[in-house]
Amino acid sequence: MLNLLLIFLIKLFAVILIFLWITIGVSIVYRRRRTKNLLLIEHTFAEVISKHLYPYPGEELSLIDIQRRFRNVGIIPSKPRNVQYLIDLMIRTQRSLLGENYEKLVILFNQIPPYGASVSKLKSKKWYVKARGIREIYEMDQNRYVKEVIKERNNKNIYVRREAQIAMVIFLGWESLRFLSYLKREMTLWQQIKIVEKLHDLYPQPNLEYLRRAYESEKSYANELLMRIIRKFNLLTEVDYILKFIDHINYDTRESAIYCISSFYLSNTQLSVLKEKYFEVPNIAQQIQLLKYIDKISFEKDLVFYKKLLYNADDIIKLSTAEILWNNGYKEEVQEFYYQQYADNQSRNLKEA
Amino acid sequence: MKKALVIQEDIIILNILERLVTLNHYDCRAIRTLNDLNIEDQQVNFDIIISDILFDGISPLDFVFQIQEIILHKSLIIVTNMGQLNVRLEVLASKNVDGFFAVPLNMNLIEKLIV
Amino acid sequence: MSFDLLYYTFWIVKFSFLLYGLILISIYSGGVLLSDRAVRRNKKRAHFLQVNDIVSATDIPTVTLVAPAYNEGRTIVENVKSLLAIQYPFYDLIIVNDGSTDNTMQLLIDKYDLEPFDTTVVHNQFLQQL
Repeated sequence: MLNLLLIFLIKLFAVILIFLWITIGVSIVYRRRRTKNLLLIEHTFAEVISKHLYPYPGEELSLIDIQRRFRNVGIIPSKPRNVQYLIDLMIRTQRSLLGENYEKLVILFNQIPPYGASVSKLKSKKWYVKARGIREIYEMDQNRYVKEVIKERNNKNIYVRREAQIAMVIFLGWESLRFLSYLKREMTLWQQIKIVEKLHDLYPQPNLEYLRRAYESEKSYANELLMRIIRKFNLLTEVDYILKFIDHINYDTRESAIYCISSFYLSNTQLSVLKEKYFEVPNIAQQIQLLKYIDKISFEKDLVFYKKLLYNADDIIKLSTAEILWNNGYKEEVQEFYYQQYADNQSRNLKEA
Repeated sequence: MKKALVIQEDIIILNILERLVTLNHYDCRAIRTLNDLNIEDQQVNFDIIISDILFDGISPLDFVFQIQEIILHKSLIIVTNMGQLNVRLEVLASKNVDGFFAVPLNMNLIEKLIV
Repeated sequence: MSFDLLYYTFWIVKFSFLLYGLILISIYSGGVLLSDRAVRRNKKRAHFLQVNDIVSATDIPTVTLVAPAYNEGRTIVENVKSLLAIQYPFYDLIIVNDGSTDNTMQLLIDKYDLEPFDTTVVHNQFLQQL
């Protein structure tokens, strides 16, 4: 009985193993064919687009020819994955071109199916389908779906909400700061970078009204985002906002503030404020960064400030300060400090002895 | 007829540039990587090379130097995704580099340069 | 009696091997299923982080790579070459010559035309005492 059971189990196991191997074999063959097919679609697309943008004399491609060529390589409604690949290629091409060619492509892509597929993706429960749908909407400039996209700005999936936030900036421009400063979840550094980039590329003229309204937000990511915007757009009139965060309790906010302020030259008043806040910064590395920045932008060296650092600060800061003073011709002050340190050490050694 | 070489990994940009160059009366050779160059190509003195600088295993500036060493040419135009100012300045400082275009590309400007 | 003991021992050993094999296969199968899930998830995520987006970005943070090297004379030039081939627009590379006794430093100086420059070095006195 036991023998029969064992034999049965072994046979069952062998069947499972064979099935597994067949699956692996089929998968390898399928992937090879699929890759070949995708390459063919890509090559066909490249050829069609280049002929459309730069036709040789007498060689004009009509819309029907283009659609026929795409159908021949399998871009048909019954093969949604091929259709999705075509959309990805269209987005990739549109992002790479400007000017007259961009306009031609927009007109062409409006006529090629399947264009209405993107909004139906927003209703999907799968995060990658939704995020893809949002991306297609903003890449293809379908701004009639702004409201649906804005609803996703606080989606629990980071990719969905990132795409929604980028879409908001693309469609609303500076007005998107109304929403972006009050999101429920933290915005990552990469999100901030993309948003600032898109704002700068598409809306280069700053709208200070929306920017200043967003100052009221107390969320740390919002503060960092606004500081990056001020830096990117070189808004000298808004530097005081960045100065507020030099001594912030949060390390990342301080880091962003120091990074952003480094692009500006400060007025005397602003420099005084910075020097006051310098001593409230709890991190030595950040203090060193600030010290180097102050040295870079100061035309005249503030001896009172540097002496305070030389006699009262951390050893590494003392060293950096000494270096700055030495390189700027204040060698006597540095020597005086050194001799005092030497005398202090001597008296300490004598006491111990 | 003038000779041109186009090197781009992105097949779409490659085809578009090839067409643009051919329409401007160049005999164009379009390849996706330097490995696709054959021995005859290396002996040709190209009037113009339009190339990307982002290829696996080699830094952008090293790639520019490599082109300048192994392919004879009169003019080099860079068309790339990596358009930061520091990269642009470093590449334009190399000899024979006559243009640097970052994505998104305005083909009219490239055309003006090659005409 | 001794024959029975031998017989049962034989069966126990046989079943132990079977059990061991089954457990091992289950663990590996579980691993395959989990990794299949992870690969699919990462593939979906990778679609949203395109290399071109990073390569063309202008406000990304600067990254400093610090690579220690001790007696790496045979491979240092190639290693540094591959580190320099990274396609990130804002990065610095610092090679720390960690007390090499061979020609690591000289190879780097010759190959990459390095120049000396003055800098401040802070020693950790506590570590020196150790």
